[in-house]
Amino acid sequence: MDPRWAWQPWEPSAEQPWDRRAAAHLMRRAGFGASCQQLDEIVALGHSAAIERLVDQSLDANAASQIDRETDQLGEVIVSLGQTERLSGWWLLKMHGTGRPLLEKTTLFWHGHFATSAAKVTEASMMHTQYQLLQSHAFGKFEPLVQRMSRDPAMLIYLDSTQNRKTHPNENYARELLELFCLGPGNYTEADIQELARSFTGWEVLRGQFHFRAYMHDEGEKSILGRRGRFGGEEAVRVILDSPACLRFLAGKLAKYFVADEPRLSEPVIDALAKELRDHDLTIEPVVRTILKSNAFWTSAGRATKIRTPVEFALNWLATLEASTDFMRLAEACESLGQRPFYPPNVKGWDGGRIWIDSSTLIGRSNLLRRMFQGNQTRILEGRGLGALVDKYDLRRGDDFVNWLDENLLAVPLAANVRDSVLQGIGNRSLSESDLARLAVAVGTLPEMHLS
Amino acid sequence: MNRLVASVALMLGAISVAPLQAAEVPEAARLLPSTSLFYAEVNQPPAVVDVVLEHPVTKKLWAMDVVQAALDSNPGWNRFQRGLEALENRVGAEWPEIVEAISGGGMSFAIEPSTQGAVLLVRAKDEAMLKKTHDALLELVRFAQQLQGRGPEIKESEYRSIPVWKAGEARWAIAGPWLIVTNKDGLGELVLDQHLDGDRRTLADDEVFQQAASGRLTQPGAWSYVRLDVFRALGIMGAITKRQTDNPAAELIAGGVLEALKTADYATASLAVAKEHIKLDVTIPHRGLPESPRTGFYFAPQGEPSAAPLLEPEGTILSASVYRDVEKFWISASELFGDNVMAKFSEAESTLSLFFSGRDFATEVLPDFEPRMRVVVAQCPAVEGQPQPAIRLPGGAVVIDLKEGHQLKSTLTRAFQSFVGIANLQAIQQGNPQLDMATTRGGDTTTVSATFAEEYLENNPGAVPVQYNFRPTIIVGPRHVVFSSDKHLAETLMSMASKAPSDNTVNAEMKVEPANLAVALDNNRESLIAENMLEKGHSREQAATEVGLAIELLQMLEQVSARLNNESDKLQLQVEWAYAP
Repeated sequence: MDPRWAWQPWEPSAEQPWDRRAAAHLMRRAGFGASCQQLDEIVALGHSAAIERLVDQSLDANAASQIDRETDQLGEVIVSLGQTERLSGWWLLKMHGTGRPLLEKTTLFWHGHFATSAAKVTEASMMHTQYQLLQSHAFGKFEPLVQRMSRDPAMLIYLDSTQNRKTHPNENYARELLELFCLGPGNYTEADIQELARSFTGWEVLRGQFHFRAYMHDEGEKSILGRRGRFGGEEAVRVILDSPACLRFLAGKLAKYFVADEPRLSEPVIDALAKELRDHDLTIEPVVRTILKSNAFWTSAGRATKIRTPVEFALNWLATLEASTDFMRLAEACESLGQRPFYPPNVKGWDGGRIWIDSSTLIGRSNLLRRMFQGNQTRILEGRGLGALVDKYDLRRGDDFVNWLDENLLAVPLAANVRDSVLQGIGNRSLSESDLARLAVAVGTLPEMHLS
Repeated sequence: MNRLVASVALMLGAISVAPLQAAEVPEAARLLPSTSLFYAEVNQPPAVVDVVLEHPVTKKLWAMDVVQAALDSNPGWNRFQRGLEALENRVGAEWPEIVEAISGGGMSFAIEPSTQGAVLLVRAKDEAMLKKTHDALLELVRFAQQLQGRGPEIKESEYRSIPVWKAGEARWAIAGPWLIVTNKDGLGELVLDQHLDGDRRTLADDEVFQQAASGRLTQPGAWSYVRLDVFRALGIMGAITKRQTDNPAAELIAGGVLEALKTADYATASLAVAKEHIKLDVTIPHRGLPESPRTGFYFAPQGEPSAAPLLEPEGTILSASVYRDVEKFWISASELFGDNVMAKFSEAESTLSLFFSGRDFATEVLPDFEPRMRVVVAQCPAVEGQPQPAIRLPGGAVVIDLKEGHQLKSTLTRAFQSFVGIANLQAIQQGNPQLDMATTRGGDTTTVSATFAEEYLENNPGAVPVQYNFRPTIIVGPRHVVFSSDKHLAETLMSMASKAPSDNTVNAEMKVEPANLAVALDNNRESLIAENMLEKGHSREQAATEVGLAIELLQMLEQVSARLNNESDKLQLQVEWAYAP
């Protein structure tokens, strides 16, 4: 792929039209799916305007939906009750109903990037504050985000860095800052970690708040990434962010999150995106805009090139079925599939990609879907059920319904023989609620369903 | 098992026959075998249905959009409604009239062990209407089965010239005014034989049943009777009456009742349904309870004061009072519990001794407590000038009677101070607010009260944490100690606590004031809405509607009360739900 062409704006063509399937691709990657009605509105908007709207909504507090405002209040209630474990369900509810899907999606990206788990940081207010911090800086410059994260009590507690004395510099945060947050492996030395740790001495947590203990700060000269100075923590962060490795590292992570799981994009392509980052002084918003409009995102390099995360899998189904559910149970189900928001497995966050899929999680995804159609936990179309949904979209026969699911949910169109096998035994008879559920589960358990 | 069942049947059959007390024995009992070990009846089904459907609560529910929407979207409900409509058309009467005609004489249900069968008897007021309704139902069911191609085939046969129908496990017959439904041929035949011949020994002839039936309801409702001696003989009650358990809490709550079940011949329960209230009354007659570790801690010795009167300060949500001799309970624990629980008792003893100034908890602390304990949960008024937490919680308190308060005063207040000290250490570790403590002495009481420090709020702007609902307090007086989550509540309860027990038979009593509970819920409407949104995926509007409905329904209840009485010849649990006028 030509690096320059990769990040140039894509234009729809006869082979790659701007249609409902394309809009579904956009909403899967830049959100958590959308209803058929929403997809049609997006199609009518035109692809460029749709992307602009998604990004602009993320920057505009007034674009918050009723659900955003309600869930924000709900978050305050959960925090005041100290119900840390409920934050997962709360965030899933917000992701599902938000009027700013790209903002939540990007916040989830940063949550995986600066991974902090409520399994260790059990104080609800700290985890919620970190969420707010990630969200408020999600599209801004990278440096203020890193500076704030370096002082974030939840992060410091998670990395056992609540005490950092000049006599015994704590290297945990320094190591992760270089390896996981800013540069990536191979771009620093052990000596850089030790010197960086000295810069952060005196940065501690006291009574649940960041606290700079000046008399414990090492005022001496440090040498970090070849630069020397009496760096404090703030100056040290700037030194790290000045490294060209930071641009490549961040560009690579953004491309992996929005475009393709595996290193399909060559180094020169990533370098071209890194140049975008540099040109915008490490500001995220214009780079995300570039990615979402790019040829890399819309052509074969970016279509069906990611494995759906458990959260995307569950929420995309809910969005398509215009359904709501017990979000606490959904959080537990996502946990069993490997991704519970606020509970990343370790400081590396979620590895993603093929890791999501193994024999156990495949069965788990299938069970999650089956449970969605059983009992009364999940309320499709305000509790009116699948029958009402197919009536709404005038899907009279089994193949209408399967085609509709294919177009709304799947990243690659179903092959004719696969469609036939899904429809086997259904024929052209009028469909009962259980027939519809069976068809939906059959589509949901296809290998194609796990691609995004 | 079958041999055991047969021997139990023989045992029941051998009980001497007493003269029939016609007025007190239900008519259905004359059709049921004397060996029936469980009997239940709804004496006036149409009246019960009428009370339920005409009740303001039902009407309120019925008028709710959310209820209507739920029913409308429920396929089962829609099928039921269509079926009912078809039935009314075929019978030529509306359903209340049908219910009155076919079940106006009462409904009874029995279980008979020798046939291992259960039987339902419905007594019609109008035999012709019963037959007509039955025929119409049969026709509808057969029609539905034809359409759907499923359901067991309904076969028709005769028993002694009475038509009998069978479908799957069920078989039924109409004999005179009776509709008889059973799951066993043998039991059905016994009932029909008795209906035709009337020459067998029936439940109505059973002396124990006659005695029990004297307490049947005269107003609309349900009444049931169970032969405990037969259940015991069948080994069914072994699990609940065994000597040792592994659940101290269950033992404290129900140990004495379980002991009564070990010796009683039978138990009865009645449920009276009226517009103003629902009353449940469970009675276990006994001939004096046996002396045992369980009865020792659970019941007051005959003639001695039992539970203290309820404490009901303003804003009471729940008030409970109970007689439990914790000293006896603790000392006889080794007879009541297995090794695992006893290990926990030993652990608790060591910890509690630390808190109680090194005194041995079982022998040097518990003997100073009287076996009377009261619990109160109540709305506490906000303290002027104090920060108001985002979530408003009611206060809770425990009041325990003391033998000699002055002997325990220092021990109890020091124990409280130690608890607060430990809580403060934990708070520091977790970044939570700490408590400041103050001690005041007035008259013959000592008060130690703790308040959450306001400096925490200065450093942590945002919602005031839930802890600020509480001002943990202990007040020790000469005859009572009050442990409370709120100082005002503690002071109020201490001033009310000295009223002496008025009724020696009350072992435990509880009262819930739903109106005050509704106020507590209303104070936390936001968090309830939050809960609803998260767990049901509702929009805020839907969640607010559901929460509002729950609060409104609570407000329609005036009071819920329960009382366990131990009289010389019976143990009686009375529960009442009273509705607001």
